[in-house]
Amino acid sequence: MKKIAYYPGCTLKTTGKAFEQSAFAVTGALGIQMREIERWNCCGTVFSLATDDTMHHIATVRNMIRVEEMGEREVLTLCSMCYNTLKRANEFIASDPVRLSELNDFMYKEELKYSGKVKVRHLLELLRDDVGWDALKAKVTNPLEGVKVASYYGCALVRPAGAGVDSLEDPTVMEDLVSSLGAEPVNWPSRLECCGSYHTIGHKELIFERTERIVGQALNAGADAIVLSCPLCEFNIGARQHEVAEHVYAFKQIPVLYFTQLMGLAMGIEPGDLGITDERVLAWLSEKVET
Amino acid sequence: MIELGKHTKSRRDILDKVERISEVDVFACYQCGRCSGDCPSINLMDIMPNQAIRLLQLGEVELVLSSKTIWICASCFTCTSRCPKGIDIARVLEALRQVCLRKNIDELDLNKIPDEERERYPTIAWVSALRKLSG
Amino acid sequence: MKKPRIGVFVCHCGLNIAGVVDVERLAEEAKGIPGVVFSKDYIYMCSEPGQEMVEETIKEENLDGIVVANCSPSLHEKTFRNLAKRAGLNPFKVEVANIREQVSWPHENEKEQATRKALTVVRETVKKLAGDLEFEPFQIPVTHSALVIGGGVAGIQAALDIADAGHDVYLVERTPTIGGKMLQLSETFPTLDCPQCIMTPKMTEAAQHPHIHILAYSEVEEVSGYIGNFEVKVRRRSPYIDWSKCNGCADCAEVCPVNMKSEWDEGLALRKAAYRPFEQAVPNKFTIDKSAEEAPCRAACPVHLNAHGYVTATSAKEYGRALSLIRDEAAFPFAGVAGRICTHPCQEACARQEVDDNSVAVKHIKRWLADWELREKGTAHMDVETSEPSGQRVAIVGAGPGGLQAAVDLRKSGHEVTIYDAQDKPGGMLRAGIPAFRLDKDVLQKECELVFKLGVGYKPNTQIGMDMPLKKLIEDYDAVYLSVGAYKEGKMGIPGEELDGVSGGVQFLGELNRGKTPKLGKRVAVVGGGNSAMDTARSALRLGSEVTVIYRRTEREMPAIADEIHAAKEEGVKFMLLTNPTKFIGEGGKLKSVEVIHMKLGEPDSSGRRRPIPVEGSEEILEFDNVFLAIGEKPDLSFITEADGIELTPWGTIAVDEETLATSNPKVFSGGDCVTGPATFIDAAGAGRKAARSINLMLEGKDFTLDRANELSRKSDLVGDKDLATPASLKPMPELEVADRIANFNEVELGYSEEDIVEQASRCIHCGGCSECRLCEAACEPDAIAHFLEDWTEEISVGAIVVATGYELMPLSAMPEYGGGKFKHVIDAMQFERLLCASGPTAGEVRRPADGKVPKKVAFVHCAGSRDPEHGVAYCSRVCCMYLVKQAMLYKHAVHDGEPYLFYIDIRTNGKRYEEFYARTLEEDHATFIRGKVSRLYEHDGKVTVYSEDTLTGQPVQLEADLVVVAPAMIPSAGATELASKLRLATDEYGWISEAHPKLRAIETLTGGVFVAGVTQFPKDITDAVLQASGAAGKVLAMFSRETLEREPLIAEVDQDICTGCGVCEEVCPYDASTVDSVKKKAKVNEALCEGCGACAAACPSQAVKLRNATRTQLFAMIEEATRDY
Repeated sequence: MKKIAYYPGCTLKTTGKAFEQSAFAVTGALGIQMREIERWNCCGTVFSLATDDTMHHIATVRNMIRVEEMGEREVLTLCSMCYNTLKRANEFIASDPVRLSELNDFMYKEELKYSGKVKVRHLLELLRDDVGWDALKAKVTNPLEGVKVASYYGCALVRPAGAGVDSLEDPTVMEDLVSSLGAEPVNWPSRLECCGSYHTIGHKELIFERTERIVGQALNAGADAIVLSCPLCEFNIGARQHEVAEHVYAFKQIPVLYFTQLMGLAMGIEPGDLGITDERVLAWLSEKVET
Repeated sequence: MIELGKHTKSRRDILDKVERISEVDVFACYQCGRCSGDCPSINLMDIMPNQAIRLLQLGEVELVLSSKTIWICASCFTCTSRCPKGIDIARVLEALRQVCLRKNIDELDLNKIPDEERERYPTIAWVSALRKLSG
Repeated sequence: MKKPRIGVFVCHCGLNIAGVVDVERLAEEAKGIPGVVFSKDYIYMCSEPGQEMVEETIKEENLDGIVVANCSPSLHEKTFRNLAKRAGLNPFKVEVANIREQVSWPHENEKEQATRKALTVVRETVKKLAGDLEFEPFQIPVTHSALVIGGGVAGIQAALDIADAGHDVYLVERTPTIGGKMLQLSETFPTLDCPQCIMTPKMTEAAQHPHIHILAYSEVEEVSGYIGNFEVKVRRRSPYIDWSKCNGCADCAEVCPVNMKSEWDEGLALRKAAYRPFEQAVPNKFTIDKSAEEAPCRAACPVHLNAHGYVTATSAKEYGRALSLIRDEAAFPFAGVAGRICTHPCQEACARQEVDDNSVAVKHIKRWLADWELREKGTAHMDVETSEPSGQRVAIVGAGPGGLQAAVDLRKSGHEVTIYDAQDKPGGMLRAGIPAFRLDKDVLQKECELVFKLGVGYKPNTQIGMDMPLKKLIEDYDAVYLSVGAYKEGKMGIPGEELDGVSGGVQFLGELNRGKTPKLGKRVAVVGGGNSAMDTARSALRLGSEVTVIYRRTEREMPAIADEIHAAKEEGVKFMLLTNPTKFIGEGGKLKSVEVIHMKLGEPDSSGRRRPIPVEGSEEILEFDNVFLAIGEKPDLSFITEADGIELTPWGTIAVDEETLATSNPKVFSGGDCVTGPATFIDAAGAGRKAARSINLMLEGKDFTLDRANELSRKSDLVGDKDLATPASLKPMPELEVADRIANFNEVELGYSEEDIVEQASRCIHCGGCSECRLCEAACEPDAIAHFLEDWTEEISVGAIVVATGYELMPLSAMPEYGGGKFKHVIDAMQFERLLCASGPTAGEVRRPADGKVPKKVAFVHCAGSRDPEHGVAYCSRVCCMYLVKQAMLYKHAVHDGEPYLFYIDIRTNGKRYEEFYARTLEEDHATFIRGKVSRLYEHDGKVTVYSEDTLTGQPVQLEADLVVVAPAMIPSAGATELASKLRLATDEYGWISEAHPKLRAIETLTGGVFVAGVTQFPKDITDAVLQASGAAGKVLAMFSRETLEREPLIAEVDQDICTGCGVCEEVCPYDASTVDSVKKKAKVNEALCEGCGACAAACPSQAVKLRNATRTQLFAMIEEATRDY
């Protein structure tokens, strides 16, 4: 059974529980043991773009030390933003011995100094590169035939160049996953567009505008559901759909699932065990997917 | 009306700051407009990203600092990944935000957010918002 | 005669024809046309398989002629004629029926009619073919040498490429050096090579090339002939230096005192009139820049002194040379006299007045030179070569300036001259009429003696008429010149003129000048307003009297020169204007008082001065002891008798022909005051000179009446260059204090100091360019200076011509919104190139031409006149974007804290490494690019405000610039259009030479054997210009690779039996191909010249001229076919 260090990040312990739950369910089924890091701390959620101040990256490095304390060289993430932030911060620091030692010196209380060697990975990479689509297909007991799925990457999973899990302008990893599950990936224009991210707090209107567009285009493309890998995207274009509905005349809603949840369904795992609780989604499931 | 060459001193100062924070040279920009062409947040911006860069070139830094645009940008990096001259526009806008934030001028006013809503927002949203929009 | 076997081939031209015309049916029906034995259609007749099919058919069906129904003959007639040749059919038995341009295209919506029309076209063409005869093309020789017009980079490249292949090339360049505009550039984009480094070697290579003959400072005057055989007349402009002797040592320029603007430095630096455009010029020769016209001062002089010359020499402190120009070269003795009392028409004409209202002090300079000589050498000199004795004798009556000048000129021509004069000393009115305080009599004496030193006979105290009759002179001498002046003083014709105390002013002056001092009373009146009135008044004043000038008009109408009136006033002479005496009242025969009446001014009279009218009852009596009348003199001609056969005028002067000064007596000439009435010294001298010329011509037995108009004094339109004006203003002539002069007769004017005179001389703005002071002659060791060398013509025969006359920039004056050239801190891009250039006027330091300041903010204005059909030209000049980007970069490199701002509409960087170069100015030099055309410029206190918009931000922008560099549109260089017409080349609406085809034949012109290279065809950068030049050379070499060229035989021929030699064909022929033999009175056609246009055939009234294979019979047959109904 493969073991891997796992960094959950704050949201997966709060509004994004379902993501973690479903992830544990499917990885377990695939014989992968995600070992949660002890005493992890928030990654900072956004990679600081200011190049003149390394302190913005200290949170990340602490987490890396935790990983090394576990004797691990890799760390797995589910949340796109954690993935993006950890990966970039890690590379930014590790790539420059001066910065690295700066931070290590700052954290003199830590028992060991960070080597800069930890590799940050995303579950999608793991599935594609380590597990492989065929192995995954083998585990599919309930192929999602006839289900049209719009894969939503958003920003953090692919941008900027070098930081993503896949090609910058034409990623396929989620579509490959979807087809491995027997479902039909749809081709649609918004899959790489931003959901509005943290503006959900200050600028609802912006989120609604984005969500209306993204959901609308998914539906136009004939999708039955959207899958994604970011709890913030999920909140913005998933959880907030009913609010959009209140503002936009004749706004049609669409189920939004974490890719792990879709996997679970295909692998015959009970929706309950995948953290799927939303009535509307369940209703949709009963009609679209035999479980 | 823009008076060219008037802000030479302050222009250089702030541009230097922006450049120091972002390590980007805005003068490479030849104004193709590709960045604005695919910006997901463009509808809420008052000046377009390319115009922001343009105004920096002309030394009209204040106009940019006082724009909504720099705060609307959510660093989705679409512009950065598409710029033909390799200008990291997202970084430039971040630097401009930093110039403001480091003067302890917060963009995000938490008091404006109703309590019932506060409960629902994902932590991730809080943390990023605070990191991006407050000092 | 055997039946014709004609084949018809119908081409679909894809759907171009087949889409409209029913080609199958056409082919089918064509079979029915008499004579047609075969007909077929095919999709692309011109294609390989199409041609093979036609070729095969010709052989198999053994056709004796084919009609191809397809596109315009201009496209494929040749194709099918060549094909016919291959198939063994005479190419001229091929006819094209144009059913595309003339049928399918214009009739696309009327298919049925189109098909019918197509059939008609085919029918008539078959008819024509039936009448076609077989011809063989004939050969014409090719002269294996080329003419390249224009010595810029394109011209040089073409010349080198052709010459390298071993053919002679004549490289004609208008300026004194080859190299063209490229050489003026500082550096070239995008490699930043300096043209001086990459271009000068090419120039040298051309200069040293055994096959290249550089004809610099020359222009193509006339081109005749035709492809392979051109006859070219080249006008070699005189450089006024013998280039075969000139060794480029620059000594002439060294001594040349004349500054002019340097074309090479775009007027930002000066050069001499004797110049070499720049040090590396090729050929390395000097040229003297002379205008065809003379400077105004020089032209205006009645004795034709070279004022420009001696002023210039004076400015160079070459006083000897200067004086020699007056005395020796102009044979004018009176430098000192004229320097004092000349009324200087030269100064009236002087262009310096346009700069600061005052002319150059030519008169004072002349005086200074004469005084200098007396000071330095003790006496005056005049070194005039006298020709071999002619054995002929001339008598001159009157030793005034006119007589003396005539004497000099006649003596110079070798004649024996004798002057008869009534006075005891020479000088005439100069001596008698002009007081010593104006003209030092010693100076006069010395200069008069110069005349006698030449061997002129002088008989003083001899009054013709009394001491000897005029008749005798006329008999004894071969010619007589009467220059007796006007001494008889006018009377007023009022009571009391006979009174003692009333006398003439001139008489009074005469006495003074003869050393007498007439006793005068306290109160003296002088009547009159002329110079003699002033002289009289001022003289009387000096004898201690109170003097009043009484004049009937106002000061404005006074004929006296202003200086004199002024001096008189200064000295205390009173003026009683608008007043006239009506009666002199005496007591015991002696004057006691004068009754005067006051006047007012009425209408202008014949002289243009307002006529004075007496005011009724304004009479008053004034007390005077003496009155001098100075109201004009008349000549005393009592010595002329009927027998002398010399007519007089009603006004009592001698009647002469104005141009020749001949009197009615063929041996007698006359001039000066006795002809004109009282006039000036210089007019008299001029008359003497003019008469001398007549007399000399007459004595040489020549017709002296031929074109004598404006022989001496005339008008010049030259205006000089105001920018060359030195700041020095006219310095007033130093004079004796009034107190020191009114008690004596000493000269009032004291003359200038040496540094003053040099400063004054340097005020000249050199209207004529070279002043012909000829200081260079002395300086030139190899003795190469040739001031009188004239233009000459050189004739060359060439087989091909390459036109590379290049461009110039649209002048700023055409752009009022950008200051129209008036703003000091707005310059054009070529000027900025010079400022950036190491070999430029500032040695590469960027400084404002106007004040030498280093500009910190420079605005670069793109598209000035370009892309502006409303105010300039519609096209893009193509190089401005790149060179302005380059200039911005070079400026930034030269001035590190400088800020370049480029105002553009689009940045066009369409060349290898151009975009990268542009990117550098953005990324490395941080040049600011404003997307917006500059709306206008406004210059104020040393800055220029630039108004524009940045269309990228939608914001209006303004810049306070220190310097503005404008990139004007490129336009064809001056004279390009004239040249084009000489070469029978077409030009577009802007004057660029039209190429044969904009894409496929952009090097050929529509005239065979003439090619175009470089910007002459259209604006392009150096790279493209050089490419096109080499291309042109390639075309030429292709021609030269053959001994002969083929010419179409389808030309006009003349039936000698019918031709009446009327010459109509000669008139209508645009190629000068048909000429009438003057002997045989028959027209003949030059096969090589004839283009077969048919104009002559149509025009010939007797139908003697035929155009081969387009005879009347053929044409009428076609028309008949076309018009008959089926």
